[in-house]
Amino acid sequence: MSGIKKILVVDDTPVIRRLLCDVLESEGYEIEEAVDGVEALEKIRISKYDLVFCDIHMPRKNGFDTFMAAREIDPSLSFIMTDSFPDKLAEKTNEMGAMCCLAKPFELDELRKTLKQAEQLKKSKCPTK
Amino acid sequence: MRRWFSIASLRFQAVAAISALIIITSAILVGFLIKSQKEHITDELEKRGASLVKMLANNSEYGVMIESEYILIDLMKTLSVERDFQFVAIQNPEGSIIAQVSMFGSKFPLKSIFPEDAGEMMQGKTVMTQRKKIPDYNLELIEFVYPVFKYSVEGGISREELGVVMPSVSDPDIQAEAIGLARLGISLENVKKDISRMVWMTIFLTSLVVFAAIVVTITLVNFIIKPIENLVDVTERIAAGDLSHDVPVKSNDELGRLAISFNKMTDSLRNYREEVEMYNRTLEQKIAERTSELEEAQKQLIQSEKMAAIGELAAGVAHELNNPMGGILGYSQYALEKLSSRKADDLSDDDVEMQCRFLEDIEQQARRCKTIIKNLLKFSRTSAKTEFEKFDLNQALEETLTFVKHQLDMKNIDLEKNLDPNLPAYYGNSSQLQQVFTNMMLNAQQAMKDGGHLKIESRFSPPIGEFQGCVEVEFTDTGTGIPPEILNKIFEPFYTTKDVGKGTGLGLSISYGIIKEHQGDILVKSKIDEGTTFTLVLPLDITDHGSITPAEKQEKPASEQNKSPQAEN
Ligand SMILES: Nc1ncnc2c1ncn2[C@@H]1O[C@H](COP(=O)(O)OP(=O)(O)O)[C@@H](O)[C@H]1O
Ligand SMILES: [Mg+2]
Repeated sequence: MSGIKKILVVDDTPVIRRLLCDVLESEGYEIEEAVDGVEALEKIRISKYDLVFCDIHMPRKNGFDTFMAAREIDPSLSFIMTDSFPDKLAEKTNEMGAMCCLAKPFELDELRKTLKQAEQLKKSKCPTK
Repeated sequence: MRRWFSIASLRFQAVAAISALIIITSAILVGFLIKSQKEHITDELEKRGASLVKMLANNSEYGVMIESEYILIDLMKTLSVERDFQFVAIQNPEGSIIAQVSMFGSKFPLKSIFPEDAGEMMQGKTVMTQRKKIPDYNLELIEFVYPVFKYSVEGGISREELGVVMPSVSDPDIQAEAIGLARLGISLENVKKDISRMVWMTIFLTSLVVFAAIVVTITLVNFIIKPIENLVDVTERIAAGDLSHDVPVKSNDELGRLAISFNKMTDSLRNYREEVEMYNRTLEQKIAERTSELEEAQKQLIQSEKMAAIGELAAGVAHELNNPMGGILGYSQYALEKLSSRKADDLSDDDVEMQCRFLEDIEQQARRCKTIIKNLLKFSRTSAKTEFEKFDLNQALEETLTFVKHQLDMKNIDLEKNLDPNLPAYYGNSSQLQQVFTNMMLNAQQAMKDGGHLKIESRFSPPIGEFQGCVEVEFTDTGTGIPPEILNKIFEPFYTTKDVGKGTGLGLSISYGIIKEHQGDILVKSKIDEGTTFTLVLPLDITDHGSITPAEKQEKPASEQNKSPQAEN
């Protein structure tokens, strides 16, 4: 397959986390999950991910902070933010370079489209891989 | 005819005074009358006795000279027919009785009642009277004593020559020589009887007159007092507020005129009172109108503050709905994809199990949406003031959180819930209390700009003795805190430190009103830069059935120790 293999799903809402896992797994990706930003950062520190699906509003550490911190650890890591739109924090994250924002409630088609975009981006960034 | 003879009545005083005057006057009069009558009667008796004894003495000169008992008794017999006659006797200078006649016959011990020296008594020139008591005969008598004189004129003119004229003893030309002593005893019994009859008669007649006079007095006083009493009666009624009676006007005199002007006064008083009453009625009506207007305005204010809160919450609620909606949308699409790619009889057990899980998720998330929407709608509903019911405070807190939670999430505020599972059912207006909870949570959220920690706690203080028990709901934030100088202002309506459009300044004042309506209290503790704690104290009232309802009208338990809204730093 293409450039994306391992995906981290970060969301404090179990059903969204589950849904993302179910859909992405069926697409053939390797999935790990985290319930909030703190747990996500721990995981990012330990292992390498190709893509992170990250919620904006979460307890302990929100999506924006998580994104900023993750950048420090792995600058090449791609982020797809998920939250209702328009959201100030989400916009801010986008401005800072997160890939795009998937507004809840999202359609599965939208999800897949965004995934494709992410893959293309990845390919263009690292064509050798 | 009340107080006909009460000591205080004018009637009694008048009658008593006049009667006393009549009685005293009559008594004095009777006294004088009796005294003079008595004197008159004894005087009469004494005069009669004296003239009788003198007559006897003068006529006895001859009889004594010849010492003829026969002549003397003849003379005395004429006396014995006199009224009250007791005895008569003539003594010679030596004291022996020459002749005597007595009502009690010859046995009468005359000698014993003449103890005096006869000779000495003969020296007197006037009639001597003396009262004597003879116990043996139960007699009281008056004795008249007069000497029997032998008269001679210088030159020896005989008695015959002097004629039958009664000689005067004091005449210096006439020489009188006492040759005997005449004694006449007259009984006092009849006189006494006369006197006592006279006394009783006088008293009886006077009493009759006095009685008649008093009767007349009473009638007269009654005649004068009656209209005054009528007046007094009516005045008393007026004083008690009864203006429906007039004083009867019966005469043209001063009292009649008084009654007329009094009736006029009552009349104007009545009119005045009717006016006042009418005014009062319209006033009451106006007050009732204003009160209901005010209540309506207050209700609207509460409602508009609630709407402001809802406006603030709306975005958060929409976000809050997005998560379950995302689940529903995602899973329904995913399930459809899975199913449409297969034939129905191709489905493996695993497939069915998976589909069921998807559907369960969908159902669960739809239910979550329903709950959020239901709670918000319930909260936004206009609630009548009197909607008191029994409900679970913890559950109300949880419900409030369903539409406030996201506000906290968005501000990175973590929530700590410490709800007492033993909280008794609380009797109150749940919708209004939820508004208070919302205000508290939103205020806390707004005080924690860069996130923080909000602790929501519920506690139960069971009743002990006088204390009827209470539940407390406490919100502790780690926000900016409230400066001490504005602590006493935050409950004022329209007081806000927030930007225009952000804060209405009504949240706390309305919350305070709602808590007061539950006889409760709000306590504040705050420290700058550390945070604020708002405590809602809601008293309980334990009825006979052991169920717990809030205190009705007494405002005892918590507010006694904590005057509110109270600020502690
Ligand atoms: N938890 C809190 N922390 C700090 N300040 C508070 C808190 N709650 C209320 N206040 C202060 O009290 C004021 C009045 O509150 P309120 O009556 O709810 O009106 P509003 O919230 O619309 O300003 C607020 O403007 C704020 O200054
Ligand atoms: Mg407020």
